[in-house]
This record gives sequence, C-alpha cells and structure tokens, in this order.
Amino acid sequence: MNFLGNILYDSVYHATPILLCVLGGIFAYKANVLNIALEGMMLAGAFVSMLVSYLTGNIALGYLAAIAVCLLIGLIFSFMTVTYKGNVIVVGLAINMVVPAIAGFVLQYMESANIRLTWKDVSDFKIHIPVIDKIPILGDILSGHTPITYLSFIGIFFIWLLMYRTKFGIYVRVVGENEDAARNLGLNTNKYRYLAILLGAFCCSLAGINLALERMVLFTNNMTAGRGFIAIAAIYCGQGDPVSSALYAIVFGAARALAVNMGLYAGPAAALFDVIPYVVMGIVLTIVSMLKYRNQKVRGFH
Amino acid sequence: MSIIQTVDLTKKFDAFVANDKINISVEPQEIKCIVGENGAGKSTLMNMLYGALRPSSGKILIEGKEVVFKSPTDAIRHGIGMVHQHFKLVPSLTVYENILLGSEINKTWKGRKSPFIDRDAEIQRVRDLIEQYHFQIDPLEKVENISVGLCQQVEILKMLYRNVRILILDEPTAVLTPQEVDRLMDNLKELRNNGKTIIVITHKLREVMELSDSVTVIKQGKVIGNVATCETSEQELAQMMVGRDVVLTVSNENGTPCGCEVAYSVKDVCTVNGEQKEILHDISLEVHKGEILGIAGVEGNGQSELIKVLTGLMTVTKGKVTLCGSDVTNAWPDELRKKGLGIIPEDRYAQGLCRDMTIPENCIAGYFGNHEVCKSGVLHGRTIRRLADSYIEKYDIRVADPEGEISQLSGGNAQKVIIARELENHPKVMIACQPTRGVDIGSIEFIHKQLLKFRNEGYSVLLISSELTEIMSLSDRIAVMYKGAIIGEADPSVPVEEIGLLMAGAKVKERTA
Repeated sequence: MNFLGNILYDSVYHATPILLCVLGGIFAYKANVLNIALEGMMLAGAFVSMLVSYLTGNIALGYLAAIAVCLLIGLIFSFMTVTYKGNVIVVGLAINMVVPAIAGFVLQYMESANIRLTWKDVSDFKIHIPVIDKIPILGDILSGHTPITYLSFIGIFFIWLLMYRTKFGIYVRVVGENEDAARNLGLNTNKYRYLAILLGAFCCSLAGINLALERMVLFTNNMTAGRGFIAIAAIYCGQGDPVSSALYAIVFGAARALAVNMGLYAGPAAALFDVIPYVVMGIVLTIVSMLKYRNQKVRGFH
Repeated sequence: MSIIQTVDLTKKFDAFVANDKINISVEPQEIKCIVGENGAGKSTLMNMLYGALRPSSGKILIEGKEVVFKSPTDAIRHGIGMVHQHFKLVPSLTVYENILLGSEINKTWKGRKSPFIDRDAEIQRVRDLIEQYHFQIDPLEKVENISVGLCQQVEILKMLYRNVRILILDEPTAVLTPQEVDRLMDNLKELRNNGKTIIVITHKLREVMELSDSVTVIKQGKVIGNVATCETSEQELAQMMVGRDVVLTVSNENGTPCGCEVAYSVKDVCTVNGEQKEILHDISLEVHKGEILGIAGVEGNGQSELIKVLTGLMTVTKGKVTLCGSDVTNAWPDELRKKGLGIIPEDRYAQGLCRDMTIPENCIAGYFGNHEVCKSGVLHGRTIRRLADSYIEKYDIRVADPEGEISQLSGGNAQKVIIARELENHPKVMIACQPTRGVDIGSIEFIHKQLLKFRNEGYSVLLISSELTEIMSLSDRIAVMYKGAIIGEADPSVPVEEIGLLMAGAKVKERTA
C-alpha cells in the first residue's frame, strides 16, 4: 500500500520540474522557436537560488535572484536568436554548456562539491493540507508538496487560458504559424518571440528553484539530468497544447517515480532502473508518431 | 474625381526598373482590372499601393490628396485593403478569429477592459458581417478545414471588417474552381454595387471581360493602354499584353488517335488518405499511342491523389498500373522515369524544381543517373551546363543568368525548364499535370504546341488540368473525375455544358464517345 502511495507522491514530485519546463517551453514552441536552452535555464535557476540563499541567508532573495538570472539568460537567448537570427540550436547548446561550466567554476572556488543550507530543512517547504492529508491515496497525491509544485499544476490552467483566451496567446500562435500574416497585421513579431522566450525562462527558473531549493535544499552540478530535454519531448508529443503536453510531462514524471521506487528494492542493480524514464520517453515518442502516420499512403509522409 | 490615382509612380530595384512612371486612375465604384504577363510589374505596383513597398519616386493620391504609406496597416487606415494570392491566414484558428485578428474584442468587466477575449461578441460581429455582404461561411469552422474558395472569402471579409473602401485582389481566381470563380465574381459585383472600389490583378482575360468596367494593360513596367472593357476584346488585350498576335487556343489538328495499342493503363486503382478513408475509387484509364487523354474535373475531386499515385509519390491499396506492358504499380519516381514516363508535376516548386539550385542542376533533376551527365557516380559539370544551354535555346527559356538559381525565373520560364527536361529525356508516356498553371499567355501557347508535337510523334499524354479550355482544346478523349472516381468519358467535340454537367457530378446516361 505504501509503495503505491510513494509512487503517486513521487510522480507529482518528479513531474513538477518537467511540467514547469513544458509550460514555459510551449509558448516558444508555438512561436516557432525551438528552445533547447530549457535545460540550461533550469540549471541556472537551481544554482542561483541555492547560491544566493547560501550567501545571504535569505530564501526570498534566492527566489528572486534565480528568476532574475533566468530572465537575463532568456533575454540573451532572444537577443542572439530573434534579433540577430542566430541558430537556435547552437545558441541553446551554448547556454546549456556554459551554465554548468560557470556553476562548476564557482563550486571549485568554494572548494565544495555541492551547496547546501544547514539552517533550512526540506520539510520546511512542505505544505500539508489539513483534511485531505488524512485521506489515503488522495492525500498522497495532493498533500505535502512544495508551493511551486501547487503553482505548477494550477499553472496548466493559467497557461491554457493565456494561450487560447487572450490576444497574447493568439498572436504568439499567429507569429509561429504564419509570420507573413502577423507582419501584415502590423504585429511586431520579434516582440512576441521575446515574450514567449522570456515566459519560458521564468517557468524554467521556477523549475530550477523547485528542483534544488525546495525539494532538496541542495545543489550539485548537472542535477537537472536532462529534464529540460524530456520537457521538449513532452511538448512535441502534445504538439504544444498545454493540457496534453502537461499530461505527457506527468507520464514522464511517473516513469521517474517508478524508477526511483523500484530502485529502492533493487540493491546494486538500482542504477539500471534509472534508465526507465528515458526508455519510456523513447517509446512514447515513437508510438505517438507511429499513430500519427499510421494510415499514411503518401511516400515520405508528405 | 478618381478615388485612387498614381502619378509617375516608379519603383527601382537597383538598376532594374520594375515600374516606370505608372499613371493610373480608378473611379469610385468601379471594378478595374490590371492585366499583364508574369513579370510585367503588376505585383510591384500593387505592393506600393497597399504599403508593402515604398515607391522610388512618384505619388499616390487618394481622392486627390497625396498619401505616403509606411506599412500595410497604414494603407488599411486609409481604406485600402489587399487580398493576396497566397492567403495570409492562420490554419489552426477559426474563421472568426482570423477575421478579427489584430482587432480582437475584449471582455469588459465593471466598465473596464479585461485581458480576456469576448468570443460571443466576436462571433456575433462576424455573423453580422457575413449577413451584410451575403457571404456563406460558418464563422466557427477552422480555416484548415475549409476550401480555398472559402479561405478567399475569409480574406475579403477580413478587409471588409476593417472598413476598406478600395479592395485590391491579386490573381484571385488562380486557385479557385469554376464554380468558386462564379461565386467570387458575383460577390465582387455586389461589393461594387454596395459602394466599394475594386482593383483586380489577373492575366485571365475571359474573367477580365466578364468582371471589369475598365482595364489597364501593363507591359515591362509601363502602362501600355487604358480601355473600357465594353470597347475591347480578349484578342486585343492579349495582343497588347504580349505585343504580338497570340493564338489563345491552339487547335488540335492532325491528331491520329489510333485505337490500336495501349501505351499506359490504370486498372481499378484505389487508395486511402491518412484517416483510412478511400479517396480514389476503382480508377481505370487507358491511354493509347498517339493520343492525349484529358482528365477534367473540379479541383479537389481526387486529381491530386491520382497524380501522386501515378507518379510514385503515394502507394495504392488495390489496382494495377501498366506502362508499355510492364507493371509499374507502386514504383518509385526514378523507376518510372527509367521505364519511359515523363512527369510534369502539379506544383512546380514542390515536386518539379529545387528553388535553391541552379538552372543546370534543375535541368538534370530526376535524370542525374543518366550516363552522359554522370560517369561512375561523378557529375560532369561541363556536359550539364551544355545540356542546360541547349534546353534554354531550344525551348526559348528567358534567363538573365543561365547558371544562376532557378528561382530567378518567372512561372512560365520555370515551367519550360520542366517541359524541356522531361521531353528531352524521350519518354514514351507523359503525365502532364496543370502544365500551364501560373504561366503567361505566350508560354501557354508554346507549352501546348510542344505537347501536341509530342503526341504527333506517336507518344501518349495523360493531361490532368482544372482548366477546362485546356482539356477541351488539347485532348483526343476526355475523362471526367468526380469525388475520386471517373464519372464519365466524352469526346472533345461535345458541348462544354455536357462536360460541365459531368464535372458537377451528373451522370450522362447516353454517351456518344
């Protein structure tokens, strides 16, 4: 019984950073900018939140600094790719590599393998919802999570609203789908690309804070472990729709929860289970595109 | 007073003068057609009129007052709206969202604007608009699910919603079916009667005669003539456009349709689309030697799929295709070409040419395995260039730089590259799909003559076209496609109305084939 409860709780727990990256990446995806820098931005959020909290002893400052740094990275990314039309893959890759390099340098300077806060405990961040907490299963799923976790799930609805019910959402989609049409309307297409990327950067900073500060009160380098790329996979599987992309993010979160919990009983072979999320991702991507092109008689899928 | 007038309007691209001192004036509430061959400078002129290009010199006057447009939005503010040949619509949005794009209505909350869009109000506004101008379209449908004709209505409504007084349409009938063309003309005439001024750019003279009040002919960036439509004829306009007498419809004489040997046959071919729905139903055709078989039909009745199946871009679920006695069902395009099938594809830049490659490279596309251009896997540059030069000369392809990119060519000349390539590789059967779409009058005449010559040499042509006149004047026999099936066959001598009926799906019981 507890095994199931743990898996359910962990599914939510592990889905959160992926979900946040998905919600952030969706707008860039819809604006036709492939933002592979989600990973780097998330790591920057994790690193800066911990570093600033550690140096100042103030958690709130850690939150704010992480958000600010991620927005700055988003701004650099947009400046290079949107304003100066740089290749998104190359610039994204550069960001993904430069962030762990800087973090590594700072860690080395501090002569430490990680950053941890001794005066703060993981349980400080957990919110227990009174009544629901006592209900079996449901309590496992709903209660005992961090603030950003709750925010991310409510975020699905807000992002949906933003995408389908506001001008901003419509314009971002127009920019991505038919740039010519957008220009003809007199829309500043670059502005919408910038905003889409910055929104992504903001969400990634939250993902990073959640990953390092809220969940473990610990930063180790490269702790994002490809979650940003898993998020990109989820966005593609859900074709940029907030709800279906979010569902894929949760599936991938559940796969990791399964891996972690099964690993507990596996002894030395535990590391083997770590491949589960990645294998699940590969299989899901293949199945999604197989279903999409199942009945196609046209050669080359065109 | 003219509602819109240009005075010595000139546009230069570096040394090239696209528009040279254009003077035109359009009266309020008239339909003005601007005709000219491809590359004559019509589009440049229109782009200046609606603000996409800045004139190099000259003035634009609206109701006598000079205006300067910085952008299309500026032009719209002055009451000039443009409907482009390639629609600027967003497929995943609905009709009403597309119409209101850029001028959305927000919900108000306690007298203040909220960030959310008021969908009900938007839908109602669009419904009113559709009613007012007697259009027929469902505002809730997604644009990706509606026909091209309806997409065009959406574009027009988009402009009407913004209260434009002058509507410019660029080649509006290029993508429409005959019925949709009639609809469009009715719509435009009604708009004129409601007080709008309409400028139509086209090179289809029949439509000019039917639609317009006055015509301006442009040739090589200059205005050649202004005439009232009632005082001119198709012949005269064609002559003005090309600068010489042209044969509008080549006559299909000397045809020797011998009912003897079958060169190409298609038997009971079926295929399905992505949703497993059958889109071709038991198509059977036989093309004899020395014959042109025309396939007529309103666009979207399975011709595209049939072309894809016959040219190796799509596979069949059932049926058999035979070329000169050998089975070529589901063969890939290169095998088809090796076995003697020439392919003039439906969309020249999608399947026929590679836009970013040079003219010589495009001249061997699909045939680069031929021994004379490719020896042991290495392409022979000089031979290829010589080949291209010979095509350019023989097929009168007008190029500025014979070794430059193919995209520099106008539609007609690009099409001639394909025709040259396919004919010079001596196929036995030619599949010609929309061979003259988007091609100027001079080139149409040339291409038609080439196809007839090929036929007269004893080879076969399968001609698939949505231009009924083209089918009628070239074919020895006509098959009509309707909803993915061959609904009937007719002789080109039967009256147009009979084929029109077949195209609309009415079965003719007694035929004299």
